[in-house]
Amino acid sequence: MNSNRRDLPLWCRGILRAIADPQDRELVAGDLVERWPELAARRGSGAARRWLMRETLVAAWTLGVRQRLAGLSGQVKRLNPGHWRFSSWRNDARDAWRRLRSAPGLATSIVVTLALGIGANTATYSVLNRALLDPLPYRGGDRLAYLYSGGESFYFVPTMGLADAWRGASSAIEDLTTFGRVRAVWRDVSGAEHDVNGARVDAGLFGFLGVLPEIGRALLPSDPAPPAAAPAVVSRAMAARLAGDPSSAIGRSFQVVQRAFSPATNEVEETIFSLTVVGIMPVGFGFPSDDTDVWFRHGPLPQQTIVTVLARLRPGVGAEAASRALLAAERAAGVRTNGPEPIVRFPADILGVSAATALW
Amino acid sequence: MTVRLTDIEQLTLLAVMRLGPDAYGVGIQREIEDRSGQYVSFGSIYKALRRLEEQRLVAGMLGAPTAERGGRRKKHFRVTAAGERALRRSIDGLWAMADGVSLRGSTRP
Repeated sequence: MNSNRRDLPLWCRGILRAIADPQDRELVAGDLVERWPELAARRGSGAARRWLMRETLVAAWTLGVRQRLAGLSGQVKRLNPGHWRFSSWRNDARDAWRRLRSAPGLATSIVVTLALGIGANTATYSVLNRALLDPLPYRGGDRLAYLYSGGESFYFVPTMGLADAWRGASSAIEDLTTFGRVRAVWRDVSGAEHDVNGARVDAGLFGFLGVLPEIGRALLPSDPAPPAAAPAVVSRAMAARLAGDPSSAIGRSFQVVQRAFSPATNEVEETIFSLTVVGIMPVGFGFPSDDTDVWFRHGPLPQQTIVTVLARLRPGVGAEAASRALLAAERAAGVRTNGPEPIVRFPADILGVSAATALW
Repeated sequence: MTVRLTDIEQLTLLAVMRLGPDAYGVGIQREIEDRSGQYVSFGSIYKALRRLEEQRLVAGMLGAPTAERGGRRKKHFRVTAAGERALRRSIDGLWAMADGVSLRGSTRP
């Protein structure tokens, strides 16, 4: 406060404007101006400033805000005494419920709007949580990346020959696995056919991901692969479909029919093979997609076979460094051409739920 | 109608009576603080005075602007006869309650 001018600071005068009665405002301001020098001399200017702040706020509240609120409350009660309650939260809730019941159309639209809003928020957060926040439930999940081959604006899955060459990039790649999706049907004991999504995988897939069957065993490198009769690991849902009680599905065999169009014969050709359940995965495991129910080994594949490659990068290795290492490995293996270059992508849909699909 | 006085209203009435013609905001606050050891803000004092004035227990009169108040006026208060009666009843009630009660450390009989 300026002791020569004997007036209050601007902020203080501003707050005091909240006082409803101009005479009260003048009296309080005059008292503050008068008492300030005494307190500043007795307690120091810092304490006096704090006193001024406290006095100003209390006066503004007591003679301004609180009085206005009391007046407003009285007015509202006079206008509509039966509907306004300020006494408790319970009264407010009861009042809201009665009003909603008296206008069902409005109530329905409010509830639907709220439900849609909350649902949209939840869905958005779920996708973000799955894609960005929640680490993948696989070993070294934050370092898993798909390896592709392509250019600036395109990429495609590589051949088995490239995948084998990329294994040489050990400075950047800790481990990699190959697989392919299978869409087929399986026949139950009555001969009825049911759609099934499966995957031909490396025997080491489950070890690579760090998730082992809950019941039974994983696939082994010595296991045969279709079209020979082969062991298979199935989802818990598939085990239940096969045997009712999932735990008794071990040892059950079922027939799988894979149909593909053959350009050579211009006909749809069938490949029929038998699978025997040797392991059952835990609930929630879904790789490469949530609806995958059967996993079995792919046998030795020709170098030209197209496979999907999933790699675990070494800690601290980024996508660009990994791409350079893969390129060097291609050259070292003698498979490098002037064609597409290796591309490393950290997908949001490693779990099998593609971000694009989940958004809808 | 029996007027019930709050603690601050009692203190304010007593301060106004003690101060006589010098009873205004600063004087009342200082008097209460010095004698009772209780600090009461100007906001609370003026709220009490407003209520007392509405009940005709005190009467106020605006003074002239003064330099020490930045050109603002004072309002001097005095206790009315009704205010004295209300204060007496209130204090009598308090003493009646306190009568016969021995309070440790009290300087009163």
